[in-house]
Amino acid sequence: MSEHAIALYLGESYASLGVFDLKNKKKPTQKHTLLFEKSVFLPQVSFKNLLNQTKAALPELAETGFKKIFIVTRYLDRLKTFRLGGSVVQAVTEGFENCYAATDTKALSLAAATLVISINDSTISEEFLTSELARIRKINPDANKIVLQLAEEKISAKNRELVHHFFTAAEFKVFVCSQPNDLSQVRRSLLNAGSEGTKEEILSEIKEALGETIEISFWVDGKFKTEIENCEIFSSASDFLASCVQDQKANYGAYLDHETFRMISTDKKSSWQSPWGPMPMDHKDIAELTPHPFSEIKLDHLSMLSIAKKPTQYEPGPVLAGRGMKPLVIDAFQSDLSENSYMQSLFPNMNTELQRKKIDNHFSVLEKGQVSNLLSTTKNEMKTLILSGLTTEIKQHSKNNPVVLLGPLQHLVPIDAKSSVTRLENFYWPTEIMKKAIL
Amino acid sequence: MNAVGFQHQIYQLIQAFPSCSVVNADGALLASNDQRTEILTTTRLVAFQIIKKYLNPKPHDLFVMNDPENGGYSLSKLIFVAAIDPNLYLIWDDNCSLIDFKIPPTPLFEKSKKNEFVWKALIESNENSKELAAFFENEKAKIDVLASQSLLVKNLSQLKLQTLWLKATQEVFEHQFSNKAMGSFDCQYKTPTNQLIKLKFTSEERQNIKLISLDFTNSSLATTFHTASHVIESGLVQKLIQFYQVEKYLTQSILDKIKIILPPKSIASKAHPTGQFNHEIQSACSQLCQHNLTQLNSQIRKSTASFEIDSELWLELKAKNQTFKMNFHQKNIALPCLEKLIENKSIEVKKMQKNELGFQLSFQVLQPHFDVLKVTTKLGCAKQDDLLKINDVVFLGGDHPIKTGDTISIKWTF
Repeated sequence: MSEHAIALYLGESYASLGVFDLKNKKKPTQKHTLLFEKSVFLPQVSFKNLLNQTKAALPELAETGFKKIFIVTRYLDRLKTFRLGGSVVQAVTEGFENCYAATDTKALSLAAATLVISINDSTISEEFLTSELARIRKINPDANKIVLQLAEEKISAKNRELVHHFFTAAEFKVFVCSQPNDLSQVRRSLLNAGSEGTKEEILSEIKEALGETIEISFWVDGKFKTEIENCEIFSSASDFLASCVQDQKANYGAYLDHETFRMISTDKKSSWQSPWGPMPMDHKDIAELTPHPFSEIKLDHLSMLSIAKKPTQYEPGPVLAGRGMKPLVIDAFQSDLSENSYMQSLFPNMNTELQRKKIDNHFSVLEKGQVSNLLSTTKNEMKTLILSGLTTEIKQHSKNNPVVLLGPLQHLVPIDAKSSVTRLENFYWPTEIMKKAIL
Repeated sequence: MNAVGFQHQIYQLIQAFPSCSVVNADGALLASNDQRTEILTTTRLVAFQIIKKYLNPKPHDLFVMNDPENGGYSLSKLIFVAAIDPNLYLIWDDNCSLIDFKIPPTPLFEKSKKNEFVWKALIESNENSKELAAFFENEKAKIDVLASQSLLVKNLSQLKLQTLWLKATQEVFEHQFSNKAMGSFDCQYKTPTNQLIKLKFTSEERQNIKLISLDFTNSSLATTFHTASHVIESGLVQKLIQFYQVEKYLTQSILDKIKIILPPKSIASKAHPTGQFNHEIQSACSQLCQHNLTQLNSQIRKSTASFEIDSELWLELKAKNQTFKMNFHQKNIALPCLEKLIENKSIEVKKMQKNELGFQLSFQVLQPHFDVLKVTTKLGCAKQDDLLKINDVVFLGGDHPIKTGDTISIKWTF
């Protein structure tokens, strides 16, 4: 273990970073070992900016170079609503084009349907690949990744090697699907290719700010690892939280922050029902709890106050962040969170008179704009229903088994004295990360 | 608590059940959830009435039945009934491919204890007793978790609150009803058996009473191709609540506003013993309803759009104790079990290609455990001659025995 290390939680919309002095191997929970800490809301302060602020705050360390960074993330979850692979080419055995997308057409696609090269073992040649590459370049000049889905029994080793070499020479990043007959493995390879850009974005920003030699570890599969498959990062945060729940000797956890309310289980599921279709991957998420904290509260088609099913994008954020124009679920809880240090660090202006007034005005307009009937409601009533709903959902998902509440907004959920719900108090991402990193 | 609180809590109750209904002791529908492709809204209500009348369910009891002739689609579609409270019942359905025999209304649990006689006869004597027991115990566990939410159950069981909620949903429906066109529109569909299904939709307001009627008068008489009225009703109710955008408010107040006229012994009102055509006729009638609604509300004064049925193909590859479904509907394809079959080496895929024009699949059966390939729904595929082939021979429909080495090919055009 080096003398200093960085712990970073990179959420979809925020980052929480701590620099720890580990010289005396003191527990990272002790205040004096934390040399620097900062949390930022990414739509307002960029990740790069956060890293530069860290460097600026610790000039001596920056000069010698940071040695290690331990990351837990759900940053890649922001990809979950998108079709991926606009720059991903597929080299596929002829007759199996886009087969991964055929078993459920409602799933999101992982590659552009037109960027497919059909490979026939008897006709493949360098000339053929050259003309196909030219065709691909015409469709998308930026295509720079290729997933090889070439079945051993249909394409000879020599020809598979030819394709691999050809695209490596053409400066494509090559992803080889080892089991192209298994559609879930094909999806996994395509997801690795489709999420490469986002992962590289994280790595390059860290290296640029903190030095090329820094050792970057991600929490995957129960430990920090430097060598990872891109798709494994998708389960980093839930796997980490499951580990925290397990430390508390429970099987279920409910995690709450401003970007997600979710249930976690310590039981591993080996197949992930991803938005792009099923793929083999260990994961420990059970379900998103409703509502999503970034869901808009609005008047629906019946002119009744309602909560949107899907969350809004993280940019520009909630009204309490300063630039948001639509009131979100998290805005309704502004007064309940006014003393929350995590919220204050992310949204420094949330308690200003101006923001409070803005939020009140939004909800006042909504309340008055409702059609007057038996289902008319108020912001306060909605809040009560949301909280009772969360409690009920937690009980239902855990089947009344013991649950650990964790996350910076856990105190929103009240604990009934009779219930088997406990809290992991003082949950702070960098501290929790460093606890696991120094084990 | 008010109507909003009631709405919120009843949603909490049903959200874990993708296909369920909640009723009170009088059988009044309080909420319904139909998120699966097989729609059983009114079938569940009929199942409740039968069990309530003959078996008088009490809290902590659990009853099961299957009823393909009245809308359960197949024997493996099990309908469960449980009293969460003397004035609150949950009826839900789930698939269990291990069941391929008729189950009359049967008490599985009484006062939370297994009914020993039933358990022995139905489960322990079954060759898959372990899996079957786990399935039924899981269903019981789901209802036990709900029943343990005492405050939620107490609130939802109160007649006063139920009445308030029913009134609120009526208000919502009447508001939405007034926003849509009133009048009538009719259309018809010629079935693959050359029979006619005629449907006239009318929405009207008389003496302040708002009413929707769906009239199947002059539809052909049932011969071999027919289904039970509940099957049709479930499909129509779904289309109506979607069109009027009141899915979250489907209660008895809305059902009472819908009048469905089904002439006796017609193609759309005579129960089929195995429910073989349930989905096919339900889908056709639902599309007729949708067409009428769209045309009546069209901005174009004299619409000339004639009814055209969507292309739809549902296949079942049946094995002992297992059914593998393959569904095609316009541009949507769902082959949920195909990957498992490939993984188990039960089949070998020869071709599987999807492009903007369509989808082609060809596979060879490698293992002897399949019995039959069954076409359960085939609508609007007239132009697709080579849609389905077995060993290069066109297969038009019905059941076809399957043996090791057979090659099945599907060519689906978008």
